[in-house]
Amino acid sequence: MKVRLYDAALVRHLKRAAKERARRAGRKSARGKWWKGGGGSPAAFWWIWLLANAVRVMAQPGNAPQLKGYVLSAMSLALAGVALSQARKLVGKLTTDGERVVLLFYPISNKDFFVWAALRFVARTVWIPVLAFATYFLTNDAAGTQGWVIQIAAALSEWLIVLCAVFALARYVDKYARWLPLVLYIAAGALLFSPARLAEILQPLALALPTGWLHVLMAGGRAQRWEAHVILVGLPLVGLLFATLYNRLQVVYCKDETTVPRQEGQAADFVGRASGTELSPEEAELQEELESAEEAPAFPIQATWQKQRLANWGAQAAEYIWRRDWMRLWDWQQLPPIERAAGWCLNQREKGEAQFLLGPKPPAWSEKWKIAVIATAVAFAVMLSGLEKLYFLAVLASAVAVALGLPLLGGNWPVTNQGSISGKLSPIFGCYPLCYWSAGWTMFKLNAVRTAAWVPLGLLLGVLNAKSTQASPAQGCWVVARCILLFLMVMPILLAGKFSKVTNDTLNLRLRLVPLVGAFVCVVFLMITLGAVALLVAPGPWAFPFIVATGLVAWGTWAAYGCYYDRAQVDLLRERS
Amino acid sequence: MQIRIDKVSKKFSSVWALEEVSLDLEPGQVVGVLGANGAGKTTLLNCLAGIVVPSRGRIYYDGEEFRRGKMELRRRLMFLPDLPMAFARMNVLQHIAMCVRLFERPEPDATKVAKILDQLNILALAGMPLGTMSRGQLYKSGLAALLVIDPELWILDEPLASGMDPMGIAYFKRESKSAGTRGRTVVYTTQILEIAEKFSDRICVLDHGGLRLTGKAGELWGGEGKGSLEQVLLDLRDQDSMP
Repeated sequence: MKVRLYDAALVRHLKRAAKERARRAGRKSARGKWWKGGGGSPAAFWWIWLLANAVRVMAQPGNAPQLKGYVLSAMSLALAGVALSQARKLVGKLTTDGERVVLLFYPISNKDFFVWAALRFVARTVWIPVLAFATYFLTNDAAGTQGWVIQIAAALSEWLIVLCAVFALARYVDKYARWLPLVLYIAAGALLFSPARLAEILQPLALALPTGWLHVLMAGGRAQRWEAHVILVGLPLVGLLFATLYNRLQVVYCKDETTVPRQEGQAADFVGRASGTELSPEEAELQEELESAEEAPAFPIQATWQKQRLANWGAQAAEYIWRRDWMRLWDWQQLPPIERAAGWCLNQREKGEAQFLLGPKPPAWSEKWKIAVIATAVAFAVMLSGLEKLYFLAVLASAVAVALGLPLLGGNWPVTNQGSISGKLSPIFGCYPLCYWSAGWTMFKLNAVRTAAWVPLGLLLGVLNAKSTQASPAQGCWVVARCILLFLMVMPILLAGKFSKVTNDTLNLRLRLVPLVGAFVCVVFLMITLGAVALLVAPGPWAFPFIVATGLVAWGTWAAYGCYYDRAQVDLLRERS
Repeated sequence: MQIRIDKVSKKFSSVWALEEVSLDLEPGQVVGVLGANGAGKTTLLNCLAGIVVPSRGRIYYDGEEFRRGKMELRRRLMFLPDLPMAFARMNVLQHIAMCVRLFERPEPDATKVAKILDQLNILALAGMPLGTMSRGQLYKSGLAALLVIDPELWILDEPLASGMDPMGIAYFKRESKSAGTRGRTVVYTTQILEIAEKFSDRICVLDHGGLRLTGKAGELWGGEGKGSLEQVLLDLRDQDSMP
């Protein structure tokens, strides 16, 4: 059976019929749109990447062949990252995504679903050959019809190789780290924009990747010679490999689940195996249950057992309720150092509010800080080693130290997670009386404590930065100090964003909102200007007035958004994307 | 709490979900909001709870205009959506404690809490994370928090189709009636007409975003034994239907 979900012709037909009936009945049109446009695609990011490539290749005098090699190597790295991330995505689509879950309730076989989902997945990667072709067009000098044919064949090969990698990796997604694609993207970007330092390390790596051989053949405009024939012969072979991997994955995915019937005497085996060892209460209970299950029908015994167990739990729960532990706030004094310090800054009401903002469990800021310390130490060690080839590791470690130690983008607040209200999304705090002003102030205090705890690490990173730029350590520290102050100053805007992101204030923009949006753009521009002056232009202590001015603008914007949030037509409800 | 809904309209994109709804509700009433799917029932509740802001019109609680920023007013009402908003990793008791703090209520009597949980048959689940509960159990947990808080205005979306078992629904009805006698106002939506007829002090029928009918259950069809709510709704639909 061929699965035709979302049959476009049938949908068009039904839509026409429904509209016709609604029109004849004089009813209002159906609410909302029939179809929503899709969300952002990763392809958008790759077009930016391509544009950056184009600018770089075009800007190079004489389009140096070496640079083209760098671009193709960077593409190898990036597409390896794409293969890794897309493999995980494919697995998600086949196992846990919404469509898979929904279709479990319909009579569709695993095979039909696999074909449908896999082909849809393949169709959505069509941007890869387009991107590859555009890159070859920029970097390959082959001319005429043959040149076009080679470039198209290479682009298709590129696509098939990535798909082969995706289908091969799909069975092993739990074997590699989630951050691996990101590392490859960063490596690709680094190679593209700093090839002199990194080419020696990254180019051999790129060559070893699945698409590396193709890029060697296509580099330097040699594609009209024997290499062209290799590509043309390689295309059907890669196609064959893809078909094989597709079929293998299909076989694995569609393998029927085998059910092992309970063997006679299974309970006795269990008891036999368990004898001689001391059983835990749970095991003893299970053993008893298994033994009784062989003598009597399972259900009544299970019901009795459950009833007793529930009764016991009920008694325990009641005891727990009477002890009133559940009403107590977190004991901030017992939490790790950074959390404890945060507790000192909050009064009793704010502690309750912070507990709501942070969700069910105390934050793990101190743990993150410790990892940031390790990352800073790694960065320091790399820089002190003097191995320039490894400097990118220092940059990566510094990025980790910043990302874990600082509440970037305003920090993580579980209370802004969204739940469903009649099919639409609303933040958790929507149903509870959470005050924008006091919540914002509490969030600011907590973020400020985290930032203060990060200051020593920041100063160390400043010293490192000074070493790489031949500046004095004091100058490096001064740069970091200004950055931290600016970060604290812009924090209110980030916190307003935490509220804004769960409202519909930026959706369905109406004409009367245009001035507001314009004003916001002006504010952002003003803040960037003031921040840039404070960081780059103002000498010494003259930076402070600009930092303070940035803070005033940010707090003003936070307050203005608060008034808007409290009074204007901002709904705590968003359509599902 | 005296509630006045004054010509409230709400527009989503190009669609008016509510159109000029005006309603006065006295304290101590159990109000059932009925209507077809998409009639605007949940939007009306969202407006009452401050989740959605009316495009036009105003809502007054005890004569004071309601806005999201007015925390004193918001602490006097509690909204229980069709799927209660809660942290999945909290248990029922932690959820209740969180609500008590947010609504600035005094520490509740432990016996009362245990009794509510017992009556709702979730006492044994008191230590279980909310994320692992069934829909009905989750709704009961939200309802337990509402009963502990006991706000002046209860706003409940589809409590009778929330997955609660018959005992849970019976307890909800009993507690709502009792809340009414204490001067609380209970506004709820439902599609179960038989229960709405007997349980509600007042019924409001929404249709295409507008308030079509409102009154005491019997009054809507001219008295006991002379018709039914179902007939009233079918008549409304016939008035609307195509020729």
